[in-house]
Amino acid sequence: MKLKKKGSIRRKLIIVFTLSYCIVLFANLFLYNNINRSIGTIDQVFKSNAELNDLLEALTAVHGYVYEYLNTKSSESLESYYRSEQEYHALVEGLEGETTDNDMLLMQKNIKNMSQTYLVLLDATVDAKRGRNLEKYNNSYEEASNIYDYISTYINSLNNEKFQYNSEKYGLLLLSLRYLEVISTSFLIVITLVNIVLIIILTRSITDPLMKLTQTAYEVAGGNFQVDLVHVNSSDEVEIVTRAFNNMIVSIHQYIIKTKESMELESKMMERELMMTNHLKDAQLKNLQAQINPHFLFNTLNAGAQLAMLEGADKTCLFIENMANFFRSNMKSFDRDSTIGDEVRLVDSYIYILNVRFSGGINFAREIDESVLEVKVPSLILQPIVENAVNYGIRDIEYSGEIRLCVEQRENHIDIIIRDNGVGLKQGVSEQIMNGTFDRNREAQDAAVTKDSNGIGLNNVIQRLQLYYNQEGLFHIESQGRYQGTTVTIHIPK
Amino acid sequence: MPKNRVGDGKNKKDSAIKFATLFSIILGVLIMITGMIYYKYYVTGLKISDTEEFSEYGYHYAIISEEEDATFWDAIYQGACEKGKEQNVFVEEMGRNLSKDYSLEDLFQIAIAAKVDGIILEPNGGGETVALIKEADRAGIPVVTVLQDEPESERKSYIGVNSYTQGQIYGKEVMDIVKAGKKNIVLLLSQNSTDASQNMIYSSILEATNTAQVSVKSIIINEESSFGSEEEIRKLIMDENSPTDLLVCLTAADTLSAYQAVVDYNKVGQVDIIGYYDSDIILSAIEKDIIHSTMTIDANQMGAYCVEALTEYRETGNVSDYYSVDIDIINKSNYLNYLDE
Repeated sequence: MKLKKKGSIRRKLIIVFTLSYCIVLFANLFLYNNINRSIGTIDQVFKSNAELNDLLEALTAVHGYVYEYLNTKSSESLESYYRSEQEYHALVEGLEGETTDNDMLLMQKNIKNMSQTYLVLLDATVDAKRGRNLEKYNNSYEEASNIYDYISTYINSLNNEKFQYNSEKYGLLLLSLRYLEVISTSFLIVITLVNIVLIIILTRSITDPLMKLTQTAYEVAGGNFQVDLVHVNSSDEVEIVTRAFNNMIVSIHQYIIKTKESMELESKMMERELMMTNHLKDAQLKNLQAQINPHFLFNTLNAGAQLAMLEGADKTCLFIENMANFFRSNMKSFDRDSTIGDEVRLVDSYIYILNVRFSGGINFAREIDESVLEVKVPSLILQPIVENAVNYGIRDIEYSGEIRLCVEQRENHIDIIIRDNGVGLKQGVSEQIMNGTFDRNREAQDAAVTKDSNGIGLNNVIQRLQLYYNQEGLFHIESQGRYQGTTVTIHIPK
Repeated sequence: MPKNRVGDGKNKKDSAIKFATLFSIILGVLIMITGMIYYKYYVTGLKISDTEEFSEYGYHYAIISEEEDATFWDAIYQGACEKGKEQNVFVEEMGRNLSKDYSLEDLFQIAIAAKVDGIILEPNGGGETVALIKEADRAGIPVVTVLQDEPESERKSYIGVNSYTQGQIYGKEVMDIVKAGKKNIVLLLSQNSTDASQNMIYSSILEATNTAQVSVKSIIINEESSFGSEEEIRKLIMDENSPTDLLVCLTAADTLSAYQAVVDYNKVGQVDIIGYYDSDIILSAIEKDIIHSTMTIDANQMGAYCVEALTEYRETGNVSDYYSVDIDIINKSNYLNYLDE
């Protein structure tokens, strides 16, 4: 099964955590950036004051060296003067020189311009000193000193102004930092809450299907295969596991059904076998009850037939032969299959015997498809039906009884039809016979065993047909009404 | 057979997660942006931005005075500033932010050393002024004088009132009061104003009153100490030996001091005041009949003229020698016009 990359848990987790952490990171960057900027501004506050102090120191140095030079005219002091002048000049160049309406910037401009004037004057002073122009250097030094004083005052004032301004600003900065803190904290709290919600949703989306899966697994473990297939609303690894699980359940279930079916089949077959055996036993028991007579009779009859032949009594011989046939087939064919031909012959013998007994009272006709005589059928299925037709159909009628036996080949089966023109059946009796719920049948059967029947009833025939072919509805009996005769049809599947 | 339900909830839930993710991310970004904007907005509101807002100007003029008459001087300065803005000029009140008080001369020297583009000066009549103006001129800085002239100097122009006219007007007002029976008139002069204008006013008043039987005295207020004028005026009002009926003040500060003293010592009605300038207090005093009338010069106009003169000189190299500023008299009949302004 291919893993859909789109919604894999790993990917989900990575995306959600990365994004949320990115936001937090970004917020922190924003926070730190602002803190840095604020600190930078605070630094600037003190830096500007420090710069002004530097400027003042440089100015003092310049003025001191000039004074020293004027006093001593030493080349050292001159050198120092030049150096400090350069220094001061550089510092002054850094000041604002534009005319603005901002007090502090304007003061810077004034300091810058005054310093330039001052430096020019100092140069003139030093030059005059070199030229030993006492009056000139005295004058210009005095002038320079005045300007020095002004510049100092300006620097100090500017320093004061800046300090005052910066102090105000410092307070505001602290306030803004406090604000920043509040904003950032609340931001972080909100983001954290959102993240928690997000993570809850995400983990739920992962664990919920797992829980569902577990629950279903427990149900299945408890033997309930009728559970709903788990449906996971995600497209990740859990879904794959779920699909596999579902497949497993379906497979197990199908396997169980198959096993169950085969077991059912087996037990059914066993049951059938058991019933077969039961009926066989039943038949055999009845057969045994009658066995003493047949064997004795069979041997006796054979002897009688020989005797009749010796005496030249052909009719008697035929009669006794038929009887012998009847009993023989009656005796031996229970435990093995018979053929349609054998069955028909048995019916012939039976009818012959009866006709001799009752002086030809039964008109027996038959239409046999010769091609099916060798088809195997359960033994003793026709004779009981014919016996039944004789005993309950045509025995008590006033007119001439008729029994017709037809064996016809159909497309898928062979129909064996036994039709009589006797008293027929009452309404509903045919269904009862086919259901096996017809009581008189049993009574009659029991009675028949003790009289001249071979003891096999219709019910027995029906059940053996069912068991033999494992199919119902092979036996069909119907009657048009009182004295309309009865038709029994046996369908033999090919 | 396990029941296989038709599930279309799958996509729904997947998209719900997507939606939740997207929603929370958008929410986070939104909150962050809101926070940032709010913070920026707040910080901007605090005005701690590194660079303060300011405008640049092409030229830099200095205005220098000893500011004897602060109220009046402020108005001049305001006028100069406003005019300056129109002409790309910033007018700086020299020495305003300094930790030290410098003399007029020092301030002037500072202005020269600071290489300003022009100087507006109210001379104090001191001897060095002329030399300083000369020095400025040498450094290429034009100087105009305001309120008081220094005609002998290299100043390019004078902006002020005609002292003679002013004296005439004062004289007329004094006569009004003299007609009401006041006799002892005291004119308050500034000590350092040895210049002609004060004398001109004094003589004009004398001239106007010489037909009446009144005494006109001029008192020079000691301004050596900072609060001198106020003390002098109190002394004057309390002087039982030579009682004062009318005080004529030539400055706004003196007018206020006189007014306060008259009220404090319960001399309302006994001592009349002719004042100078049209501040609200003075106008309300006129309303209450404590000050009879006051003189006013359009100080804003005066300041504007100064800047105009300097700019004209800078641009053309020439400027008229004298700008005259109008004088008005305010009394009970017209003070409302000024009060409304």
